[in-house]
Amino acid sequence: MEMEQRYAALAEYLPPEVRPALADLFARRGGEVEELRFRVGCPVGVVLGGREISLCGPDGPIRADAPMLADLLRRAAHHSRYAVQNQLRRGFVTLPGGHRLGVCGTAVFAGGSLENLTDLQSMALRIARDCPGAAEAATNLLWSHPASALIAGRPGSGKTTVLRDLIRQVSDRFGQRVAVVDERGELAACLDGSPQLRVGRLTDVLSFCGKAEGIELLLRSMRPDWIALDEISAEEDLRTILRASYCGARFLATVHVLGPEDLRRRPLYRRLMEAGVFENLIYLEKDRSLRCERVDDAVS
Amino acid sequence: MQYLRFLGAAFVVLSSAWVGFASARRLRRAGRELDELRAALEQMESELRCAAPTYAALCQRLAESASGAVSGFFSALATDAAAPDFEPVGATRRAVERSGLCLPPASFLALEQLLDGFGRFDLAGQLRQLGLAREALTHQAGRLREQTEAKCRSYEILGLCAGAAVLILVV
Repeated sequence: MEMEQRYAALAEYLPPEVRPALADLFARRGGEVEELRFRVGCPVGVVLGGREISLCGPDGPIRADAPMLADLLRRAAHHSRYAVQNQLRRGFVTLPGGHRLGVCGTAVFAGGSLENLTDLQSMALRIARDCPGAAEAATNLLWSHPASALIAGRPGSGKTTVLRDLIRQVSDRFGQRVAVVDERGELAACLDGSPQLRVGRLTDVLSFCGKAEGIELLLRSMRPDWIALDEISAEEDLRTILRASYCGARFLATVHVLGPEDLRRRPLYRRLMEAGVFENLIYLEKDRSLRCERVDDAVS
Repeated sequence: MQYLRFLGAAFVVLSSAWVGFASARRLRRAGRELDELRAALEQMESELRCAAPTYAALCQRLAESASGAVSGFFSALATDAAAPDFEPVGATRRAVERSGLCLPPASFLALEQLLDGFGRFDLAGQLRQLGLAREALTHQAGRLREQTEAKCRSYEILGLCAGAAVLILVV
């Protein structure tokens, strides 16, 4: 039933050609569907459990073409390309329910900055999953030691999912104010001011704002106990986090690493650990289990 | 008998005059609605610059601010645009028919060109399209204003005269 509801919410954004086959797939294996892939001239792909298979109709694989991709984007933008312009500049559009449509095509630059994507070549529709309880082990660590926590793991390991649940738990269970810098609209996926994914009742969300600017803004305006952000990847992020840490806010953040040794090996992450802002480390293993430890223990 | 003839004569004159006055009223209404539409397009520009709402949300806001047939027009567009398999081509015509909006043909064409392709461009492009439509409607409104009073008087007098002529012929 949940899968049927989930599909029903998504169906209106999908091109009519793929709906019957996808409805059938969601009914059978909806819980495993991670992504839908559309590439011009190629069969529509479905990513199930990390593996991509072709979506088949009664006449064989359903092939994507340029009009299909244009239709998909038009639906995702609610027939208002101008309304999602800022998102398109970042290469994606967020749909109701927190699903994210990644867009790939020919970049159009104006004045030195990316203005538009045209001649669409491929799209990736990532299906959002709200997994309450995904950060249970991490929450216990934070409960015993309520300090800034860093979530590390490989791409696609579930860092954003764990971060989202941690935000919700800190907000609802700990009763503390969390401010989220939702730079890509993936954490809360707000639509018309309403979070499409559960992030807690004491959570304030700043969507589609850069991390550095967002942190400053939230500190000035929302007086958060915790600040949550996804994917620390730039020097500027580190500088702003350091500055903000002196204002008393604690952080929940994620970093991309291929292995725990990256935290010591890569210069940005090494400086991040040495700065001493993060005292709790949550590492996502390959099997998506969590290894929670204090940073001192991890480094030693 | 004389009374009936007098009644019949009055009926002929009045109904003919009514046609003339109704035509004049329609022309004046077209002018008013064109002015309201221009105001709505001005609001559309402000809304786009401020919040860039989706097409359906934008039409809904315009419907709430306007009145009469113009409000009905944007309300019909908003309902249409919110539907899952919305087809933009022909949306303007459908909305005009549902709302009873009274527009000169050239104004309708300008509106159709703007709204049937709405949302295809980025913000700068959309604002340019909007600017062109507003220019066209402003030009149309100016022409209509110049002609309205003279035309309305002509319709009214024509109606009365036609009624009188028929009466004379019949009597």
